[in-house]
Amino acid sequence: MNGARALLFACLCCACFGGEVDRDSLLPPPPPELESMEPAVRDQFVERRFLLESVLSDPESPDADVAWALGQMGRVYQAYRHLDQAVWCYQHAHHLDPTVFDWPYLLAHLQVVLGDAEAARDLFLRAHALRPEEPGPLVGLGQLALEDGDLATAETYYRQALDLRPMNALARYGLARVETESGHYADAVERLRRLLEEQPRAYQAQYALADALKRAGREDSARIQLEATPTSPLERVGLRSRDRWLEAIQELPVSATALEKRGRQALLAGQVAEAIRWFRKAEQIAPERREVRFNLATALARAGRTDEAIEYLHQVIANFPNFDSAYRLLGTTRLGSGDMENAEIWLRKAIELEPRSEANLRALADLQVAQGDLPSAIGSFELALEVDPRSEAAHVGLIVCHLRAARFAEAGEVIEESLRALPSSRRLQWLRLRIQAIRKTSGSLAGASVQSFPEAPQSVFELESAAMLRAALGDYRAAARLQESAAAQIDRVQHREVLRQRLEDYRSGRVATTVWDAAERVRVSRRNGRGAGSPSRSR
Amino acid sequence: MDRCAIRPRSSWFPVAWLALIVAAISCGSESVTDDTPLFVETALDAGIDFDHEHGGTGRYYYVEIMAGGGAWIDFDGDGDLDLYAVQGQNLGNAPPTLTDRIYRNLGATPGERVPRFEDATEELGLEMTGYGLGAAAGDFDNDGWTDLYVTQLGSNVLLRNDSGQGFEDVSAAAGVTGNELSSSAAFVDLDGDGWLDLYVTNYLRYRLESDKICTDMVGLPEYCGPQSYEPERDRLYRNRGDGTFEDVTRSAGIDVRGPGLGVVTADFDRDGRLDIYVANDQAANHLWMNLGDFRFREEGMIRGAAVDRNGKVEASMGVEVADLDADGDEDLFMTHLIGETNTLYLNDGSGYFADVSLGSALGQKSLRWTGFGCALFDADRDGRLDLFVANGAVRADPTQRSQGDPLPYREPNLLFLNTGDGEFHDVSHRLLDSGVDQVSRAAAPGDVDDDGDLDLAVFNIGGPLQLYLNETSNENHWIGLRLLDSNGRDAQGAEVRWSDLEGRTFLRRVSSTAGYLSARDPRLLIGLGSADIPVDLDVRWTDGSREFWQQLGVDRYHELVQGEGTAP
Repeated sequence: MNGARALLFACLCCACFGGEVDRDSLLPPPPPELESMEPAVRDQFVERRFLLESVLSDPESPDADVAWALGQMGRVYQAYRHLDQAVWCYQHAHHLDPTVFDWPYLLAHLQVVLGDAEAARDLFLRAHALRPEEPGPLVGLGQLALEDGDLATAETYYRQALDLRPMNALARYGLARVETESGHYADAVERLRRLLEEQPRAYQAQYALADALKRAGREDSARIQLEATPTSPLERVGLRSRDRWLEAIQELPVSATALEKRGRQALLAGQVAEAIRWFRKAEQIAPERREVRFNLATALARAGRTDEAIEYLHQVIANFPNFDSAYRLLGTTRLGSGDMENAEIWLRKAIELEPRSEANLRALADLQVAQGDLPSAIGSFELALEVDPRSEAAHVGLIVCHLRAARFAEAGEVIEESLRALPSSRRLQWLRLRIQAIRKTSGSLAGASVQSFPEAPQSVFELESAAMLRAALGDYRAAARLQESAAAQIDRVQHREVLRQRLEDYRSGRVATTVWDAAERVRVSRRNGRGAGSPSRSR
Repeated sequence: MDRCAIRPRSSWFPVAWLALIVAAISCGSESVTDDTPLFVETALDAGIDFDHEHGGTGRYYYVEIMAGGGAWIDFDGDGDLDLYAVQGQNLGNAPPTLTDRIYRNLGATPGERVPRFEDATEELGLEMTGYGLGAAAGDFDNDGWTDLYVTQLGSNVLLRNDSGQGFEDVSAAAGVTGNELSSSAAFVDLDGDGWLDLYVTNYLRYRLESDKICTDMVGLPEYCGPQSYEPERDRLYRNRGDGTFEDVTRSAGIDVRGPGLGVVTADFDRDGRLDIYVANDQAANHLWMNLGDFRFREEGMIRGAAVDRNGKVEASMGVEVADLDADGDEDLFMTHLIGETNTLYLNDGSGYFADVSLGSALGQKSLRWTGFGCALFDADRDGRLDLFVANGAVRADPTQRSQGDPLPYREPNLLFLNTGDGEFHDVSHRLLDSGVDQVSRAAAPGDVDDDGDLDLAVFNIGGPLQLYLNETSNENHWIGLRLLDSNGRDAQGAEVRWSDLEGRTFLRRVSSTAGYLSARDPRLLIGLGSADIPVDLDVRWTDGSREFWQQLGVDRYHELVQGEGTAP
């Protein structure tokens, strides 16, 4: 520990424990660099410090008030990751008013982060004694026991937490890990699958499920599960479990960086309006941050506010003329609004600035698909794959191009190559089945047997692929059931009609090659004021 | 001093490794209650006056916070280790005025404890004026002289050692220039053909011109994180044996991009082929399993070595590989960002791993710091692998910054002694230096004074290079090995096994690749504790052949040349 840090830490800790607390010592040093902070952040520190000073200046103020003011100060420190200072505040708050749950509970979480498991355990126990009806401390104790290899104790704590809140996600996850470590893989798999039904994107549960499958000897299933597990911090969604104490800390930061982060999380969760709100706030604080503005434009485009997004992106480009992502987004937004000519101009500009961007090349390929220029699109997807051979989106795009061009044999070859690059890609595996179905229906796979399903179909894409395969095999009843299941997962009328249209095609013996063919027929029939054909129901 | 235990979680593979360590060599261990210095910093006394410059102008160029590596290399072939230090460069509009430096080891004069070095940079005509990051060492052309590969922002440089008289830049002719932001690199014979291939870890798609502006949580300027840029793909070069390399990245299947920082090679699944492990920064780590015929498949996730026990990607920086639990397979240790544990992945013998970090002191003690370089080595010659971790933040310490420190990223380095009872003791206070924390990055062990214990070079950002001489004072015995293949070069990748009196078998592998941006002493130094009886060795060369050496005397170095041992 360097001298300065040691001195600060000593200052902060010297009056921590034991006996009466000298109130004069209860005002922590002001945070370093207070004057340089963003104004809104500075205000938070100043306000809470003023509150604390006010309470301390009144000799009549009860200890509980001082503790409360210290705790509020600690929350701000914790929110901005000044952990030593936060520890100091909470320790004193707890010492002055040991009847309040908040301080030992928050302090316990800090000690976990700081690596002091013993202190954390003691504090969780204290918190539990203060509010036995809260599951949070029990979950914390369970986690500590689990990490310590004490499975029996961990299980006890997790079950106690679940007695209080049967749906507590963290306790269920913890219990599943205990079951995995104990060799009860089937129980763990079942518990995690149920958890993932509620929180399908929770990466911890996804990884734990793969781990349980692997240990149960189902390595292929584990690989597929892992392929679906996001690893990028930008795409990752953690387990959600209501904890108002921790949520209050997470909601405190108001810096541009913090607001942008909240915007990204909202965007990831599909809460576009919320995302726009956070990005707008971040932009007001830090208009020079091009990523903030890019994210705002992305959110606007996703919200369907196309004109606004386009106008805003022009402003971004005026300020950051070398920002290739902004050009790409402008191009894809133009494409979304049907303006292919301008879309191409902007996408080519993005590629000129960053020719090695897989995203830029793939966006151009998507445009070329929309233009019906399939040979060029194939070339662009291939270039994208040269840059990033593991881009699942580019693999799928390339194969779909072949399908749209009715080059079924080529599609069959490409899918095999793609699966060599991404052998565990669930989407590619289902796409292969779809191609087999199409080729069988079209007669280009005469006599060949189709492969079995890799796993039970789940997504709309998988369900409709399974339906196509069943139809290709002549099992229309099963195809219809699968089709209905797929339709049930989407509530947009047009999609449902597309699915019905396609089933009609199977049953009438026509070759329904792609979603797009069917979609086009639906669009045409809608434009002509007719239905998309009579819906087919299972017989 | 903290007394800290590594405890495996109840694990799905029967790792009784604590028991193994407990039962391992009983010998004169360095006392953990002793406060006498174990390592003493002596760089200036030794004549090493290297000061790293990160080139920062207050603009917070991302590359400033990464750099600082180097290599132990016997460039003049006199048998002792010389030191190559990689330098940064002026950024912004200032012209380049800095160059890497190389220091020749002159040995210690009689009666002196500290060996003397002289700066041989000008004498050798070395002019390396790119923004340097790291270095790898290996004899790529099998001429008996160790060459260097230096990673830089932009083009990398392959320096061919001209018989100790100088270095020639042969990068372009050899075809290994690259044009990415590279970090660590490793020379390794991946196909057992007797020629060293080259794996280059690339970090991000980054150019100075595209550097982004970032702020921290309270709104102050700060270095960006890796998520601000697209990750880059690594490169694998196959040595053609004629002084040139073929870029086989694509055909070898190295097709996953990642912000790579550290790289090690080992035979994780014990199939006789060397695999590659890459530590990625805030992305899943990559475990490239060698399928043979220069084909690799990424298996990090399924083998449990890509993310932490909860599925969370970590900011991996440096990585080390060694048989830490003495069970005959190679385990992984890597350093991480503050708030994340340094991670210890134990190998179950088949190349599947379990993260046992959190129950261990190695993990818990690391939560407060950001680790980069790391070195697993037997500091006290007791036969057990100890650990050094070089720390330095990537987010400014508010207190340091408020005090006007121009480089407010200083953190203490850590030294742990493995006590043999399954515990590691934090003995960082036994590192004797100026007392001023540095912003450390690379750490490379090497026996610089040939006294049978490993010393340490620590490379710091914007600060002096530190040379820690090992001052272990116990009476433990040792044996030093230099393995040379049939071409007369260091046999990188060869493995050595030996057994103790109780029949336990130990494993070490020859490699000059050190944890982060650096190259270590390629010699193997094996602590024997109190055992002073001659040692029998089983050597497996990278071409798959095996030889035995018997009755090798202790407390001295031996040169083992392929073809001169006894056939099995």
